[in-house]
Amino acid sequence: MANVNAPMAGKLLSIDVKAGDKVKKNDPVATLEAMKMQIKVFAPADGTVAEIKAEAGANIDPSVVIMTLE
Amino acid sequence: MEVIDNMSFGWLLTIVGGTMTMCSLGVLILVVTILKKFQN
Amino acid sequence: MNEIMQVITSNDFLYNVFGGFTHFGWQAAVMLIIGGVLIYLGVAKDYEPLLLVPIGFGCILANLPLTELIHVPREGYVFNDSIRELLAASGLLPLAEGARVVNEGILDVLYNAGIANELFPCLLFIGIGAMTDFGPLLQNPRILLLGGAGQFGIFLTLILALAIGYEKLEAICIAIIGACDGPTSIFITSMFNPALLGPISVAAYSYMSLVPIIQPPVMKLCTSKKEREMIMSYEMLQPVTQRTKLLFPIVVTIVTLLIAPSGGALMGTLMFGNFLRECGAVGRLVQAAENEIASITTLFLGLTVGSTMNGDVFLTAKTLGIFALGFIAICGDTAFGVFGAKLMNLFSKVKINPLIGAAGISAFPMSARVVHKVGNEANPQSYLLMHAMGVNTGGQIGSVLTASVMIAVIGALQTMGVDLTIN
Repeated sequence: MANVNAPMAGKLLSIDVKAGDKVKKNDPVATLEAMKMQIKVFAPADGTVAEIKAEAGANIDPSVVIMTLE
Repeated sequence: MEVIDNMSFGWLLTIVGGTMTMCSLGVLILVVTILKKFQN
Repeated sequence: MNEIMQVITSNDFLYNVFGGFTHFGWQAAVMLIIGGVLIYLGVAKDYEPLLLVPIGFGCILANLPLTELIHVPREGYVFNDSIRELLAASGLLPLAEGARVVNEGILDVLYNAGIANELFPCLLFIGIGAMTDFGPLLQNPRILLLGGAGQFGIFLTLILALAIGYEKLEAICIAIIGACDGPTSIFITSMFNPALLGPISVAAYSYMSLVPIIQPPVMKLCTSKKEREMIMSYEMLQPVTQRTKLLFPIVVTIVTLLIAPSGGALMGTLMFGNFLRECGAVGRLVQAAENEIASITTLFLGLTVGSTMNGDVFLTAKTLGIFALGFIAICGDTAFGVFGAKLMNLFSKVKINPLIGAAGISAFPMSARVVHKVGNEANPQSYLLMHAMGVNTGGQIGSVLTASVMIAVIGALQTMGVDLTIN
């Protein structure tokens, strides 16, 4: 069980996985825009996407959980 | 008019310029730290 | 009728009527090609198009013969200004030996209005200040030191340039390419050695656009894989309030100008722009500074600087040397920045990833993005962007500060009567 937090403040552009998808550590799971640069958010651990908690287009910061893995 | 050798000019500028730059940045850091103390 | 034929067929007449062709030399041809290459790089390759396009076009304009658009900054011209002419006629003002009396060309006007007196670079600085968010820097102020470390490529280049035989004031202008900042380079060069404006500004702007290509190899060479993989959390950053961001430009202006008063034009305009942004009361001025004023200035600056690239000045071995040294300057900045960060790690408890030191140059925000990419390649869990942005804005302050300090030191030497002129 792991939370995927936003790595830094920015705008969440898209979430690139669905609930139920299997991901490996370091797979890209979401795209973030900060300082006019698109940044991939990578999975911190192996697992299955349990729940997606943030919406594309939202402004997020490191306290926001984007999704949970299990 | 005094004359200064090219290389001594270079080293003079490097030493004085480098030190002054780093010291001014040090002062700035100090000032910003103090500023931040007062922000609450 | 006969008379007309006689005039038309005379060699002198043909020579002057087709003066554009008859005065066209090999240097002009080479310069037109160089101008074309700059435009190509800007348009097709997207390397700093906002500057390279006007510079390239200015270069083409200035090198077509007989256009009389620009004469400065070269010596040997006297403007056909009526008072001077009268003075000269009455023997009160001897014209310099061999000088030509010319009418002021339109590019001469622009040159004298904004380059000779360093106005255009300063107007650009207001825009840069208005665009810069010093927030990430203020959250972790000690990384300002990295913005200073990243300037040591300037001094390295200065020593190298002097060692291989450039004159003092030439070496200063070449070294300042290491500030990795176009306006600063143009400011210093027009102050100390305007003849080198063309090669230096072209070198500065082309290397700035090549930062994403030049920096990564140097960064990798200076760090081990383990060092690059280091993750920097965002917890070490303490948030700053708007009041701190508002006071910052004022405080920086006062502190730095007390230390280096002669940097007033550069630091003053940069911080003024930033104050406009942070005070939140003058949205229209901020808009104007970062859009309209910056665009107009860039246009005139590029065109005028490009038109100083006259063949007989540009096509010399000196220009090649300037490009080589400029390259070393930027590599040097990167290396010094990385080693500066490693040095900081020796003395501080909170460790930083040495890669962010490489962002201690003024090329904003390219350099910070490059750092983020290199760090992210080494370890996908590492997100250095905001830390690198902080260092990058520190690099902007560092480069302006270094330039101001250099002006101050040179000014002090000149006041003491030390001879720095080019022989």
